[in-house]
Amino acid sequence: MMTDPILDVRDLCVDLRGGSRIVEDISLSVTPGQTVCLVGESGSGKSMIANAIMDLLPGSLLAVSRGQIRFHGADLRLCGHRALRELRGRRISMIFQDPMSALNPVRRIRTQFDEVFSAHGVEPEGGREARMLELLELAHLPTPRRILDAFPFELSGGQRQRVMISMAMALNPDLLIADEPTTALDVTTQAQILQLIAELQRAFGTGVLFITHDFGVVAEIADRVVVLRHGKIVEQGPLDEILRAPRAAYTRTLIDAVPAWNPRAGGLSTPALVSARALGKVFKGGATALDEVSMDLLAGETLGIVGESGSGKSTLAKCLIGLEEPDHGGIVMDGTDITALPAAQKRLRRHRMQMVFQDPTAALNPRHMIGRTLADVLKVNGCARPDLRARALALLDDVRLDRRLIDRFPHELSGGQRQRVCIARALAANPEVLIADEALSALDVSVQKQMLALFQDLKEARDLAILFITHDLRVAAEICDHVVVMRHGGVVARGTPEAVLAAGRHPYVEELLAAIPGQDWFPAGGAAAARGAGRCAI
Amino acid sequence: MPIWKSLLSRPDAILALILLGAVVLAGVLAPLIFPGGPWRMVARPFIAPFTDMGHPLGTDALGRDLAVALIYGARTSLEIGLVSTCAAVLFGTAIGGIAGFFGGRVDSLLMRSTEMFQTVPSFALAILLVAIYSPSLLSIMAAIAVVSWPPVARLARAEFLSMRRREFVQAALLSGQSNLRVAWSQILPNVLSPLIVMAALMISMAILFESALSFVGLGDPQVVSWGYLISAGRGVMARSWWLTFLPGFSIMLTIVSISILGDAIGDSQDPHFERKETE
Amino acid sequence: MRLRTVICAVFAATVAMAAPISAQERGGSLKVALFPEPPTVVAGLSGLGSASIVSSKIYEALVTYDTDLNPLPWLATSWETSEDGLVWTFNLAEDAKWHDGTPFTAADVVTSYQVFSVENDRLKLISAKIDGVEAVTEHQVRFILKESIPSFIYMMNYGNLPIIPAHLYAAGNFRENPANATPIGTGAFKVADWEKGSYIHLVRFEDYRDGSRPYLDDLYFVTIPDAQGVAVAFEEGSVDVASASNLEGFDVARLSAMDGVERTNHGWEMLAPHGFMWVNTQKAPLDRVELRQALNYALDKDFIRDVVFNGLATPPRGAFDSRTKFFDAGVNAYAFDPEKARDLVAASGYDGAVLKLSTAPVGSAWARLAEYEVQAWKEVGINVELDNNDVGGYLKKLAERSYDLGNIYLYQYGDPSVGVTRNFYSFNDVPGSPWNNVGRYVNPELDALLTQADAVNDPAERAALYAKAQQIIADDAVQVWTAELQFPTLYRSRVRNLVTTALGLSDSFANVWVEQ
Repeated sequence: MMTDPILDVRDLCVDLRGGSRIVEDISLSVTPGQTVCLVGESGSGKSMIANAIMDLLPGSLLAVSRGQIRFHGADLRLCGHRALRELRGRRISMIFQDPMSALNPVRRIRTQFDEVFSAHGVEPEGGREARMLELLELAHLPTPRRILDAFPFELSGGQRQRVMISMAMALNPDLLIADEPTTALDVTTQAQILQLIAELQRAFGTGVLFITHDFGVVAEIADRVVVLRHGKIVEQGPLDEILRAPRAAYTRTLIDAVPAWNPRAGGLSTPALVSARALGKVFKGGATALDEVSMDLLAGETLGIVGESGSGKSTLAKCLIGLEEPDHGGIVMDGTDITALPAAQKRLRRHRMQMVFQDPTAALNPRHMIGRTLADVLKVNGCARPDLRARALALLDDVRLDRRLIDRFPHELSGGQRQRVCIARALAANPEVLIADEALSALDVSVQKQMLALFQDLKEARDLAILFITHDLRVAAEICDHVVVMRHGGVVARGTPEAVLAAGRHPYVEELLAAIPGQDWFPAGGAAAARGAGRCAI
Repeated sequence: MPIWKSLLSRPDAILALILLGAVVLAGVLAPLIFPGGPWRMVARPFIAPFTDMGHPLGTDALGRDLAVALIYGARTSLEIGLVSTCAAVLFGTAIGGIAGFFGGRVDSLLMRSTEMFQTVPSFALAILLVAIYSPSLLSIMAAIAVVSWPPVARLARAEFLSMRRREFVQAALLSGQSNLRVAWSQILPNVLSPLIVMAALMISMAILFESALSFVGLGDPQVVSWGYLISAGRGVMARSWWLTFLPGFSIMLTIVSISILGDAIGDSQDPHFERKETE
Repeated sequence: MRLRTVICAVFAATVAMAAPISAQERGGSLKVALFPEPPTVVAGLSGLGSASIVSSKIYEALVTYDTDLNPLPWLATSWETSEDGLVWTFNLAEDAKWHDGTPFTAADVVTSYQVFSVENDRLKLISAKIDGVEAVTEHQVRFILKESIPSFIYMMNYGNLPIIPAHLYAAGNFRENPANATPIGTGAFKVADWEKGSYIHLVRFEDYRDGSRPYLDDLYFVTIPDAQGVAVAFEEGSVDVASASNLEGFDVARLSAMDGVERTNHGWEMLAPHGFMWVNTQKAPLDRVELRQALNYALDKDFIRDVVFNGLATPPRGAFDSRTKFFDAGVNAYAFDPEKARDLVAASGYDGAVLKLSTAPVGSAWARLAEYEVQAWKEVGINVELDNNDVGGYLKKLAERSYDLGNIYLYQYGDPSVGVTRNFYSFNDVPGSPWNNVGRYVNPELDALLTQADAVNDPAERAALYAKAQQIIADDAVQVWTAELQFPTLYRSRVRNLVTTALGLSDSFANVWVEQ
């Protein structure tokens, strides 16, 4: 059934001013009621395309050099500014990854919502207030009136994203462009947002261009899939075609990157290296960060701490490592409670636990070369001056990085390379424990697999214990020996992956499992076990 | 270096560089070109500029060469500007850095002290200090430094505070590096850029301060400064306006040049380092 | 009663009656430029010239002097002296009143003498020679001297003995008397208001003598802190009177050439402002006479007259001003001779130690003078640095003798025993005051000469003695002499009777009137 497409992009090219081509020969289309997923990793140009369609490219740097962007037949490139402004928000809407930066922090939601109507001179029948409340209810926001009066920072991430969606849908646009709207959200919230978009789409017949890097999400919502790499379309087609029989090797890599559901039987029994005993912490303002949390990290094991935002998993890690102080409770290492020690003693033990952070860009000093960063840590941990360079190069080898990178700056490296440098820096202190705090979340999916393999090798080579903090149950299931599930500052379940993640063990775990997107194609949880391990035909 | 590239690409910055370079050169070479000093009475008084080639800018009420006085004045102004700014920046960065790095009570204590200095009108305080300790180059530099450091401290504190929470700083602390080391080698290089811009503008302020102090008679009487020249020329402005105008013009040129350069340095803030990868 | 006294009295009365020439108009106001703003306008409380300019309208003295330095009646209508000169009797005006209504009597003169014989540095010097003062009747007062004082009538000038009310000052410390907050005098004007930093406003004292004078309704002394301001104010008409001491030299020439502007050099005969530099003669290396002489030889007095003071000066010859009595022109004037100066510097054994020239911001001419002096001395090898102070600080340094060199100009008061000799008596080196022998010069021979000259009655004898004294002072280079200053007064033509006496602007304005 070939209805006329709402959006028809043909041979679109975007160039850097005075230079290279960023995006080349992009042709795709979206029909009413259809969801087209634009899939790619960082640097693929997917956001660039979305911005080009909305004419949001930073004009001084980038420009559309070729091609047509047809909206209901009319080429947007030929439209004047005024015409485009009318289209934006009214016929084409866009929602972004970070709703916080898309909402004005010093204005109430009501004011910003009002602007949507004012900008297009639309007065809904029954008044604006009624329409706004209606939209917020459609978005399943519990107390719409209170939300209207609130400021953005008073809402949670999920609530903000729903507000964004309401505002985007306020004028019944024909096309909704969603640029990674759920990437920053918890898995349960993500599930709700995806559902909401689907609902609205069904109700209003909106076409959706959904940008993501997660094939799980793609499997959940897409009708058509467009795979992007380095600014070019690698392949595109209907969902089942792409998933069942991907033609390009790259597509296959992306699909493979979704971890298979393979919960470990696990169960090491070595002595505990680090133990937390009834840690408690309350933030200023009363929120409970940790609620009597106890756990043991056994020597040589990979322990997964799983939870959503606000569960306390990062706080737990920071308390263990000394970046934050628990209000009460103890942390035992080698039989000594290190929370009771004076600061000087604490510092002595510090190097035994090292951390790899989530954002590798922020975790490296932008003005120091890689070699300098590594050398600083080596120096402080007792390496003699003449040996510094050799040791640094050796560390680069350990994390499988090209030795030449030692004289480069962080901005010259890719995200994955930077994270490896961070790991190398952590290893430079000769730790016994490595804490990876969402260390893979900011990386591309294709890289994740290699990183997991790297962690495994390092663990074996250096006899490390790894504390793996993540929200991704699939990853936790695959690599961890033990798993601890946290919620609202407390531990709700602990044990081997097989035991904890099996069906029916704990309602919250069930909830988490159910929320994982794309389970028709990438099973997870009990369903997978029921069907037998592995996934539907590849 | 990216800063030089940015500077040389802007025509106003190039002009500013040339002007400032001329001023600096004049100041540095003054004792070599005119070893007699600016106080010597070399001709009859009140020669107009451009009338006598031996004294291209004319002479003042006592027959002293105005061009020589201006050049020595450049020397004084630059000396005072640079030294007092350095002192203020060093001190302010130390105070602000400690406050921002450690936070809590240390921060409160240091910032309340800083505010104490900030609430006093700076020029009035400078006058007071110079008057108490007798006007001399040293007391003037000290007075200017004392009234100029609070804004630097506030900036340094803000920068250190934000940097402190950055992950690479936390990683450095975790790896065992001491607080001092982290502050010095990790944080400081990243906060240098805004501090340098501020320092550039503070040099302008210092030159203006010194001129104002000299104007009210609190300058070092042993040295010629632009402010002194303005003050001395004031008495005969009805008859020889250039004696006041030319030093004032020199001050204006110097300060405008410094401001332009400060802007250019600020603009050149290399986003390269901080830029996230483009999607 | 001596014939001479009778003649004086008649002469004085004639002069007094002859003073108003054309038909005076009553009414109007006069604005006079003033700088620096005096700390007080109570008579005798501040030694600043600007203080006297204002206070001489509020208070009066026994006598004033004409431009030939002959005494004129003021609060005293006539006076006589005894045969041996040891008793001076003054007859006082009978219709004079204080601003608060109390009648003026001889008791006020007695009190004034009691106060100022202690407080006034010049009067203090002769107080030892005065046995006592008594009120003979309500309107007659008598001074009884132990020895004759030939300059006695000059000692009675306003600067030495202003008359203050007995009913306010008879008891207690003069300087701390609370009555100082509201000046009460017998003068033709009283204080209406004083806006600090802006102006002092005086109004006619309605009960002045017979009530016919003063002619002016209001008198304003406008404080203008710099010479340009005074020039502008005068030019645009916001002040009517400006003294050249407050103007730049070239402005004087320019302004006096304007239409409707008069200029007079009179009014300084008594005060004779004499510009010189105090030298701290007991402080090494300034205790070497060769060095002091070198300091004098190194200065080009013509340059100072022409460039620094714009022609409004005369090169000085020693410590006596040419306008003062008994001036001897034969004294060494230290004509400009840098070679000689250099030789003297070498002879003095000067080691190059830095000397400090203390200054105060009293006008750009003085600033230029100081700068010139530093340069001129540098040329002959003497290292001097400027030491800037505010006016109060500068006077303090002089008072405490903590200075090396300091420019100043002092009034000479007509007779050398009044204003000149006080600078050289060794017993007058009393730290705490900047108005006595600040130079700390000690010379017993000179002391003896001066004592005799101040006491002897015969003018010829006095002349010879003073001549010798001037020679000693000049040869010993006790001070560094810079200029005899001229301060012409500029005023609008419609102002009449402005400068009629030797005290000029520092005298009563009772006879001043403006054409309306």
